[in-house]
Amino acid sequence: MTSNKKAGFGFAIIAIAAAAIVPLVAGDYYVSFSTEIAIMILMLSSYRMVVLTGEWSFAHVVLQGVGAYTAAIMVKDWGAPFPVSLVAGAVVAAAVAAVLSFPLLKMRGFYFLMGTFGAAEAIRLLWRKFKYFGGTRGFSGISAPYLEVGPITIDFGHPASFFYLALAIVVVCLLVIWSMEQSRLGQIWRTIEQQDVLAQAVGIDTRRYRRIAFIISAAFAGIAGVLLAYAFGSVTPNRFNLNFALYLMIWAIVGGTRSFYGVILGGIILMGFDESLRFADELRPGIYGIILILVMLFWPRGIERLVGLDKLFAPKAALPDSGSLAASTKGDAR
Amino acid sequence: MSVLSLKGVTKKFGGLTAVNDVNLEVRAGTIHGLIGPNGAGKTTLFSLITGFYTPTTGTVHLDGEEVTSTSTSHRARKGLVRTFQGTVLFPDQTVAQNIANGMLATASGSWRDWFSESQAYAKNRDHEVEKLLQFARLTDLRNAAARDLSHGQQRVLGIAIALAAKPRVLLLDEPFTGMTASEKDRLVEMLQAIRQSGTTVVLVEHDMRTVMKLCDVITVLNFGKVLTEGTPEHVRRHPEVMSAYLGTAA
Repeated sequence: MTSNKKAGFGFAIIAIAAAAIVPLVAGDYYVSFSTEIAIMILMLSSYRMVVLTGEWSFAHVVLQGVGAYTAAIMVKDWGAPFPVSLVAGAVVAAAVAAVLSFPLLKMRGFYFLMGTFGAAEAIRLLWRKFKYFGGTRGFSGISAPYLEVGPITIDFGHPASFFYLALAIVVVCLLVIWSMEQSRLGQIWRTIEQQDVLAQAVGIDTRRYRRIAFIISAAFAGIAGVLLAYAFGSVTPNRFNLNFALYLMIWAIVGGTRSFYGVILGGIILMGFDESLRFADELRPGIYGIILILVMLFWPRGIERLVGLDKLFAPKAALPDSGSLAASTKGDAR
Repeated sequence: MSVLSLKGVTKKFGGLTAVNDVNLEVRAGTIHGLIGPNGAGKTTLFSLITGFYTPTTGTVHLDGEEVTSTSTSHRARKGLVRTFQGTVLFPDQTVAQNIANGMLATASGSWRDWFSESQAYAKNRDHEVEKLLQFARLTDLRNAAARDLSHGQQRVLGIAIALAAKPRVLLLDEPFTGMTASEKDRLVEMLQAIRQSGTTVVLVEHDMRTVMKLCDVITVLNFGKVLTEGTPEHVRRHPEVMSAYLGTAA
């Protein structure tokens, strides 16, 4: 393990520990807010998988919605337990993404972005118009999960216990996302982003791997959606509208998409910022606009660059100046 | 035995016939040159071989397998790998990573590579990268960003990336363009070594002197048709080749 990686893991463990302390020192309101941050971090990190291939999408938030609606329907109609709806949310979101990928991934760049917008709005309208999906009011009264192991019963209806549940799931997801990014798959995504034609020339089926990124990221968005449904106890179509898709994109840009932790940092900072602006709701869009323009002008690589930790957590595929390739990979063989 | 074969390949763009009924047999283990004056259809033919275009009529076979309408990436996995006229690289990544990227699709592996890189893959990759760095004389620049290399070094790196994909046929699009004389000599040596290792080389090139020096077989295109084909000696003495280039009456 390189010293960079060690430091990275160190920071990760400190961050998880700090998050775990929140319920001990803060009230329920802030604990619920922390749950939202954890869900947002999962959204941003999974969104980044698509960004790694060089594409920006408006559909990610609606795919989260697919997960949330799946969970809501599973719970309301079939009384499914939490683990079942969690898996179902991921699978259905991935399946919807797989279907969408056929037309959408024939496009690139701006056309892909507009295509995802069209597909996302179409899905959202289905939720609004069809009774089966609860119409404009969606679903409410999604009861919190509880766990019964012999004599012990854990009720995740309490904000703190649900926060720990969400945190554990998000951390596991982030680990999977992180290792995928380090793997051959992640390296292939980077080559597609950097030089599509050259990637094809050496045998990389670029559309196939862009599709894989789109589908896998949708599965994680689906998980985030399930967590959101249980966290709020309700699901409405407006929670997945264009505003949220735009915020997701802005936060990813402001946080920085080059490194794994950039979007995580961006998520924490901007969620906190967002919360502190609650008193001036009308000003929020304007302030976001100013932040976005300032960041793109002065720190085009986002907060990750500003903080100056961008070498940390950097995948080995982006470690240009840390000794030989051989040395760095030898160290990585855990 | 021919490793690459085109039969009756024609490509029309609207009313324009860019390539007209071209038959081409590239024998394994040779360096095969494609030359011709500007507008002769060299680049179109190159695109037909690499899969960027699909022929209007005719077939393309690679090692006996028809690849006429398959994608560039599919052909690359079957052993037909191209380089680019410009310096098309992964500009932000290091020289070593550029070369390593060349083997991402063609090196063996399993679905487990999606989650973690196997030690075997990493070891094999480092070994191959090391060999290619030496071969391309880029060992000292291994940690430099690709965009910081000189033009000649970038051209050589482009070839090293292609070689990392372990091609059976290496297609080079005007590899000598913009190189200094010593860089050209060095590249000639490299290509001869590549042939030595059993890889067939097909190149489109303007630089006649280098082509004559390097190629075993030369195909001359003019107005989308094969004018003649043969050894450098044959081509040099062919009267129509001179007239095609110089525009004099045959």
